[in-house]
This record gives sequence, C-alpha cells and structure tokens, in this order.
Amino acid sequence: MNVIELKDIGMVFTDRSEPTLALSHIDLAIGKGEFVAIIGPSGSGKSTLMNVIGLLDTPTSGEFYLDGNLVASLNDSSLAKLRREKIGFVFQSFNLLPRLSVVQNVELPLVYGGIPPKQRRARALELLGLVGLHDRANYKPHQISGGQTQRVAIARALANHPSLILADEPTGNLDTKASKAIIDELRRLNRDTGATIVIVTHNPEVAVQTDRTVTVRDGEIVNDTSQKASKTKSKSAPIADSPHRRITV
Amino acid sequence: MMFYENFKMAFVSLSNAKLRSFLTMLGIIIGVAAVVSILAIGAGVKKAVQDQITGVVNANAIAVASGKINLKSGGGGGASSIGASTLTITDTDYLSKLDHVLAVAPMSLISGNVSNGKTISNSELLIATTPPFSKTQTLKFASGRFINDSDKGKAVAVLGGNAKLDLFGTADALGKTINIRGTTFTIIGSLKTTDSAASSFSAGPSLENAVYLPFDTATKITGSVPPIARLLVQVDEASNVNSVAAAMKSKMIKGHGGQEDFTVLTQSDILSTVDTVLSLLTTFIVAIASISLLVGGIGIMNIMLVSVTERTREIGLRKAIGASSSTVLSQFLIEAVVISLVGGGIGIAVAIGLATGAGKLAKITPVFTPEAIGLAFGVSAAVGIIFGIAPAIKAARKRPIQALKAI
Repeated sequence: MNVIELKDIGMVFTDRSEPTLALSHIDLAIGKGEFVAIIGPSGSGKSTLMNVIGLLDTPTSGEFYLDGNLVASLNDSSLAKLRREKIGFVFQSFNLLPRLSVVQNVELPLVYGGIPPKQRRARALELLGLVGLHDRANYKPHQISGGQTQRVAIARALANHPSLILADEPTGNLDTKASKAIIDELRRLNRDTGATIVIVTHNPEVAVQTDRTVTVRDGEIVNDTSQKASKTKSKSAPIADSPHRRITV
Repeated sequence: MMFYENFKMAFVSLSNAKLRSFLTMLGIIIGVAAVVSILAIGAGVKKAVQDQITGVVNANAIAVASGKINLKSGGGGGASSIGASTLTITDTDYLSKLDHVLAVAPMSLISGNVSNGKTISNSELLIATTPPFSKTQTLKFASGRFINDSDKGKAVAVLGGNAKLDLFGTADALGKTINIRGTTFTIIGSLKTTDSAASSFSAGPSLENAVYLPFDTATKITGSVPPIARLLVQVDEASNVNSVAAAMKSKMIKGHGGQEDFTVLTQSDILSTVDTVLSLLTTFIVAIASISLLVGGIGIMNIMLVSVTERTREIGLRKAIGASSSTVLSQFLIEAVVISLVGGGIGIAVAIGLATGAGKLAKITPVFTPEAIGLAFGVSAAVGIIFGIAPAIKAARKRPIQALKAI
C-alpha cells in the first residue's frame, strides 16, 4: 500500500484577485520508504502540492489517500493526530514560534502528544544535538541565524518519530556544506528508519541526491523518474535551472 | 492531563509575551479600578448624605417644627423655624399622651455666650432639652453621656463635636467646666464630629456647635420658659411613625385653634426631599462609571486585535505541528481567562486604594458593594474573554497554511 496516493488532485485559489489554478490533474503515488524530490520553478505549484500532502491545505478536487485513508473523510482531531504522529513538516518560513525558546519549539509536538515533561525535554535536547544546536537550546528564534532556524525546524519535525517527513526547501537558506549535511541526514533517516521523505526544491543538485525526482510545472507533473510511474508526460521545454547556477530565495 | 498542559502552555505563552499580556491586563485593570472606585465613592457620598439626613431625626422619631416649612421647595429648612415659636409646653403634654408615643422632648434655643475660663465664645448654639432627645437622634459620643433624669435642674452640659473643639481643643472635656450666663456648668459628655462634607445637606442648623443643657436648668438661668423651637417625639416602633404623625397633626391643629402653624416631620419626609438630589447624583455617577467601563473595554479590545495577526500565524503553526482546533482554542481561552481574572483582581485592589485615598481627601468613607465589584469584574472579564477568543476561533477555522500566511 502506498503511503501517499493522489488521484486527480486539483487546487483552485479563489481568494486572490482572480481564480488561480495552482494544481491540475495531479496523479501521484509515493510508496513507503521512498526518498523523493519534487522540483520545479517558482510558482509551479510544488509548495501547494506539498501543503496538500502535509494536510495543511485541502484540494478543491480529487482524492487524497494517506496510508489508504481518504483524508477528506477525516475529522479535525484525526487530522491533528496524523500531523502530530505521522508527519514531520519543515516549512520554508514561519517555522518557529517566536516567543518560545528553541528547545520549547522542538518540544511542542511532544506536548501535543501528551509526553511527560522530563521525557520530552530529554528527547528535544537529543534532537537538537542531532542537528548540532544543543548549545542554542535556550535561545530565542530571533537570536539564531536563518540556517540554524531551519535545522531547529528539522529537529522538531523528527520529534514524534514520524514515518513521513516533508521538507519545503530545507536547504534554501543554507550554504553548500550545510546543505549537504542536511540532505545526508535525511538520507540517513530514510535508510536507517525507513521513513518516507519528500523534499521540495528548485535546486537540481539537491534533487539528484534523492532516489526519485518528480518535476512540476504550471500545476502539473511533467516528469517522474520513478520506474513505477505509469504516466510520464514529457514536455519539450527544458528544465530552467542549470546545475551550476545557485538560486537563493 | 491535557487541560493541565494547556494551562501550562497558556502560562508559558503569557510569560513569554510579557508586554502584550501586561497591556491587555492594563486595560482590564483600568476599567475595573475606575468603575469600582467611582461607584464606591458615589455610594459613600450618598451614604454620608443619608446619614446626615437621617441623623436629623431617627426612623422611630418625629420632629415638630415651628412654622410651616415647605419641604418640597427645599426652602429654609430649620432656620426659618427659629424665630417666634408657635409651640408650647402644653403641646408637649397632650402629645405625650398619644398612643405609641414614648416621650416628647422639647428643644429650645437660648441666647448667651460660653466661657471656658480663658476665652468667651459666641459661636456655640445653646440648646435646652430633656433626656428623650437622645432617643430621637443618632448621637455618637466621644466620651461621657447625654443628659438623663437625674440631671434635672442641675448645671450639667453636653458638647457637640465642634463646640468641644472650640472650647477645649483636642483635650478631653469630661469633668471640665464652662460658664454660661453667670452659671458654671460641668461637662458630662461630648459628641464626635461627623463627616463635614455632608453637613451642607443638613435640614437644620448644624448641631456640631451645640451645647445641650437640661431644660429646667435653662429655665432657671434665663428666668422664664425658653421658646420651643422644636418638639421631638419618640415613637415606640418605626412602623407606627406615620399613624402617630397623622394623629399628632390633628391633635395639634385642634390645640392651636384650627391653625396648622407647625410642621410635622418624619424621617421619610426629610429623605424624600433629598431623594431627587440623590437620584440625580446616582444617575451622574452611573453615567461616569459606564463611560469608564466603555473606555476600559475598548482598551482591552484594541490590544487583543493588535496581536491577532501574530496569533493567527501561531495558531496555524500549532495546528500544523499537530494541535487540534480544540486544544489550541482552549489554550487561548485559558490565556484570556487568566488575564481577565488577574487583571480584575488587581483592578479591585487598585480601586480600593484609589477610593480610600480619594475618600481621605474629600472626607468621605467609600462604600464597596458586591454589585459594583461584580459588575465591573464581570464586564471587563467578558470583554477580555470575547476579544481574546473571537480571533482565535476565526483562525482555528482556517486551513493551517491559510492561517500561517495571514497578514
């Protein structure tokens, strides 16, 4: 059974000056333990796709099955449980609560999971150690760098041992060395724990480090390097970014 | 377990946003403090006025004044009754025989200066009366006692609050002597001074400056029965006052040859004249208190709305991490309740300080009623909670990513 199954997913945004078609006829299946990159230029809909998968947004059409369960049929507390226990999400921005300390931020999923204070503090510090920020535990988010914020977010995403890790541009703010470290860590997680990992990126250098690349353009999947994919739409336009050009967002 | 965690989370959230929490609380503190202190001072003023009024004559007493006083126009009060008196000792006799009447005390003014041995003063009001007088008034003694039956004909005197201050300063006057019209009087009692702020509402000359002498002694030193300014009738029970007053009126009209050249005053008569003034005062106070409540409420609302954007994003993030809507909402609700309760408590404490301080300046004792405190507390808490929760409810309804992108 696939962890993620999207059938004919569409997303129309009506809260803008004119209705915007962000996603159109998306069919995507991701199996357990896969390490996938979703790549596409800015505005392609890749972040929107990620938000749907991460249960942060609701598609306007189509069906989304998470572990075989139709998401649309789930109620608020079931969804909250999934976000808490199953999914670890790393956002592009607005990652941390500004008024809580770094360690309090990392602890948060554990608080909602009902873990007692001593245990969750220990786990949070362990996770911070994993991303090399143990000594920043009591700092406030505004006191650490953007890259460090990202790493704290990753630590938090791992708090509840999620089986699905979603990262939206996790290396966007990082230099090459730190980028590699993050991707290596994610790969290690994938190999050691069998977690399913989906990364959104615009950087092909990052994409090649994963096992599978799904290319999104204009709200549609135009390429999928997976052998399991039954449809591979290839469009004539080349991929915009060249491997040696770094785009900073 | 979850509730306790929410509670802790609310506290963490509040203490991590100290300025915002304080500003919100400040709105509640100001609203509650203003309303409670204003209502307390207002109630204190009303009580002082009423005490002064009811001090003129007790609930179980009736005063008969010489001349017809028009209470409705508020004219003259007791002053117009001092002059040629229409009341006589005969009135005293037949009035004391009426049903439910325990005693009748005449009240006369005699002229004369008072000497304390060093200086001569003419600011004292010399009042000749009999023992039942003390039963018809609320007299608060600083020391000693009022004239009683054993003092009949003796040269003893009781001093009013200001009279004692004037003659003997702050020293105790008990046992000391004064000289009136050549006779030496021993002081057997002195009264406390009352709140001066309410004395302007008095329906008669200020008794603060009174020196009370036994009626028979006054007759002796002036050489004749002094003209009676007032009769004070002690009734057995307050519930009988109105029927006795009616009986007195008809009896006295007969006794005065068909003339109603006197005024029968019960406590409720006097109270009703100032009722209009008191009502106006109440309305005024309530209006001011309402305005300050409104201002306080707006203050609370403002600070809550100011932080809505920040908190909307926070709600989006918490939901994305795995908090359910109800968890997030109960955290925000607890925050709002805590701020409201703590702010309300501080506000009441501030109000007590404010009102007591202001009261000392104005010589009014503030009166704190549960209704005033309940009203101020209730409204402020309601505003704090409503404006704390409403944006949260709105945010929790959004999809997490929408809330996260809120501007």
